[in-house]
Amino acid sequence: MSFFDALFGRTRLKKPQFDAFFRLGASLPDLEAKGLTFAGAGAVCCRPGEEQAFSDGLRQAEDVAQLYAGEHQLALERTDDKERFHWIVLRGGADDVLTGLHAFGDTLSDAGYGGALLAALFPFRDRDAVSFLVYNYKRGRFYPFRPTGRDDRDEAREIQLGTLLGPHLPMEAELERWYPLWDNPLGNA
Amino acid sequence: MRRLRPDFGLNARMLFSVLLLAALYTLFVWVLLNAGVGFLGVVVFAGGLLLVQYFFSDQLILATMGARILKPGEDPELEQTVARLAQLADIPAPRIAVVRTDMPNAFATGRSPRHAVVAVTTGLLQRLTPGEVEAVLGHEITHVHNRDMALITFASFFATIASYIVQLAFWFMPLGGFGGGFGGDRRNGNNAALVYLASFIVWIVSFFLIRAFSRYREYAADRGSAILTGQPSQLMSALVKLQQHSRIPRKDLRHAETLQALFIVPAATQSAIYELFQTHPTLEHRLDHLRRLEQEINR
Repeated sequence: MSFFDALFGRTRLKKPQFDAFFRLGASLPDLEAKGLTFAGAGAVCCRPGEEQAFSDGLRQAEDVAQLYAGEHQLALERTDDKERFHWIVLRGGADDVLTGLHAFGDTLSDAGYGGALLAALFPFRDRDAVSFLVYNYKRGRFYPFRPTGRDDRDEAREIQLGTLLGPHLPMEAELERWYPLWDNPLGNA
Repeated sequence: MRRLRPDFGLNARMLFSVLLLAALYTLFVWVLLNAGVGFLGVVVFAGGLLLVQYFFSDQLILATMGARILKPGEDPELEQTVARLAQLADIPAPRIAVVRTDMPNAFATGRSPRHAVVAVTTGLLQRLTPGEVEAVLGHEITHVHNRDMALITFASFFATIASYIVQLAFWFMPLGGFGGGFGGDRRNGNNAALVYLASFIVWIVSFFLIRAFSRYREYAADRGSAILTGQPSQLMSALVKLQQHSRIPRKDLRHAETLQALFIVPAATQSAIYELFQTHPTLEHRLDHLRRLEQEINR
């Protein structure tokens, strides 16, 4: 938020940052060495807009993702959760999932709705449960999320993961921004 | 248990802050008297408030926190730990209260060791190891032993009076109250302004002094925990856990997002100025202090 935006009370959604997104693919062997195994899925969460132009942009982005999924034998799901956020889920190999989700985000961004991109979510098998890496588009950083129940999370392991993954991925340093995503479509990945 | 030498530096700083506070308060009383304020009235009024605070604040705190006092035998392990620490500190075993919340935290309250209650949250009991719980309880037991709750209440006595005067003046001065106002007695008007100014200064300066004093008491309680348990490292890992956990949000990203877009990025750095406003020292400073204690114990 710039000084003048603050002065005039303008709300402008931050543009999404894609730079760090692909570093996840390159660092998967390192994560594996730390005990995190990619669980073969990824999802993007976006906040839907009411206007027709947004629906068009979203359909366009989903078509691109659908096309990519078809070419690379990925399973694609679309869901609206009860918070009225829109999710697109891809299941398959890590590189394909990442490229497919990036194609979706990029197209939506080109249509002028990059600000609607909230987060990308990647499940990992971690010991006896699932830990997620959440990618925050606005910050261009990852953070761990390990739910242990409906509204419970394993902060001890998350802090541990934050330290472990620091050398390999751009991690969110401010713990205050490690927002959970309860009840996501990958919940039982 | 190895004997720890008293921390002269800490004692000196504590004494210094108390002396400054006393000097400030003496000056304040002098100004009030010279300005011809009905000083007795103010003291009786504030003294009454102070007594109410002194006698009922513990119940008030427990009620607002939703703490439930444990009946004997409800959690034998916890009782055992508290009793052992109290015995080491040579105080009667305080009552134990549990707050049902996920936020890991602990506090002590009560005007004297005999009336003390040590409270922990369920989140703390779940997340900390028994050794860490013991270290946190050692910290709270030291607060009880040092009578910190009563000390801070008394240290805030004149600060409370000053803040009342400032607030009263804020509401009533524009209406011509306080004996001054337009067309009123010139001398009274000047005195009212003087009292207001003095109260304001006392309020501000005492705010920082009381907070400094409070921070020194925290160091002392950390130190006490290390002496009682003999394991500063347990308190260190407990502090890290408590501080880090409470920073991780539980509010869903989808609800937080609208706020996040509007937020100006908060300063994550904990500067020296930031610490001036806090009742507790920063985590880094507490860890440094405990690390030095650990070296002292292991020497």
